[in-house]
Amino acid sequence: MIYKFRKDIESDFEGYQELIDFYHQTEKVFFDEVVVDFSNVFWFEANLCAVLGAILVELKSKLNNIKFIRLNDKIKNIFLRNDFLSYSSSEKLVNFGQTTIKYRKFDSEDEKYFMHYVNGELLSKSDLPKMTIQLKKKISESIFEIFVNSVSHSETILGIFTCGQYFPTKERIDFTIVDRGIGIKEKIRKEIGEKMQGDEAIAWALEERNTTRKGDIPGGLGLKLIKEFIKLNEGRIQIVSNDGFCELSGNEVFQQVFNLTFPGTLVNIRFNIADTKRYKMSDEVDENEIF
Amino acid sequence: MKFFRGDKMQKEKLKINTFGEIGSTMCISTEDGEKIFSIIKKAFDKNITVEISFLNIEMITSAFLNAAIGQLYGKYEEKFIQQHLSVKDMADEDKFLLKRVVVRAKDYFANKKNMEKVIAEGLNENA
Repeated sequence: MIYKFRKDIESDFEGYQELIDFYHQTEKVFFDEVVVDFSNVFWFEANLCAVLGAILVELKSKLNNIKFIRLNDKIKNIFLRNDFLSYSSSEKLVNFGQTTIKYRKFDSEDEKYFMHYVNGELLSKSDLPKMTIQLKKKISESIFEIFVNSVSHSETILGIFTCGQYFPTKERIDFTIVDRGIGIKEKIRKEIGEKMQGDEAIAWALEERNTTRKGDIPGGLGLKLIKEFIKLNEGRIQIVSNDGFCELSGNEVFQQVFNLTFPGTLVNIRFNIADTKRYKMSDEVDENEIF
Repeated sequence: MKFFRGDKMQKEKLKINTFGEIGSTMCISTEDGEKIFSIIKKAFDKNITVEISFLNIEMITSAFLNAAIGQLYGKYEEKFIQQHLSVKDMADEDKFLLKRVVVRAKDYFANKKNMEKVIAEGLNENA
């Protein structure tokens, strides 16, 4: 079959809708050639390779051969530099620039590899836009919190997908993590029996104290820490899960519902790397009063 | 006096070197948190006091701390933990994170107990 994207793929509600439509249009194809036509796509945001990869993995698992056609040079160059094309074809380029954060697929038990990836792509990469050490640490912590959250909550069997991009002149990093798990809305329904709309479920998960955990290990903090940091950092966080969309930017919250369901959860974070705050806690914690 | 995984013991005090136990400067995963938890549990079950050192640790997530320390509140009384657990060589921001994890854990287990009580009462009424 041939699937033709209708427009640019950017990190916004419409961009995600386009990717969700692609998933549903190709969902049932088995042992075929799926030709993805990019002729209407002038721009495809690099970090969203994580989302496209998370969709393609299922197509591949159904024995389909994937072929991209009519990619413009700009997109082809991005897909080559962040290794995305090497997952779909045999091409692999040495990364000439330092502005890509490579596309990777991880399994749930790959936490050590993920640490190595973040270390290589973010913490110890030379020639990056200047950032304070504290900011680098906060950004990495946020990324780790999301990954561990996906591992513990999503029940993914198809993996976890990541990709990012530095924008030196715009002074920002966009980073996306996608899991092919059951999604937040379904997890809440399954674990605590509450039925919610997708966007409400995401908003619920972002509130402190709310968790679907019932076992011996407490939860309900990871996403809240990221939410607090992103607000201080003046960045942005978008979450797509099942049919829900939620975007937090500054004090603004934007929620919406898709007409079709995304098969898992994606978290897309925009970090402001011009941030020079020291992130020191206002109240020092006395070691004797922690417990 | 029992010997615990090569850690130095001084008068019923077990010192845990986090870096040595997990083999990394990054305390990220629940799995690594569980490793630390199981050592603390072994000591607590013998009434041994524990000091956890975070020397050489550069990064800690809430997921790690929830598994390593947060889940202690489901097994031991708060007072027992206060008397038997201490941390050392921890960066200020990580102490702040640990404090939040502890507050959250107390809240989580208090809610869990209440919920279990409500369910048990409901079952008794229906019996």
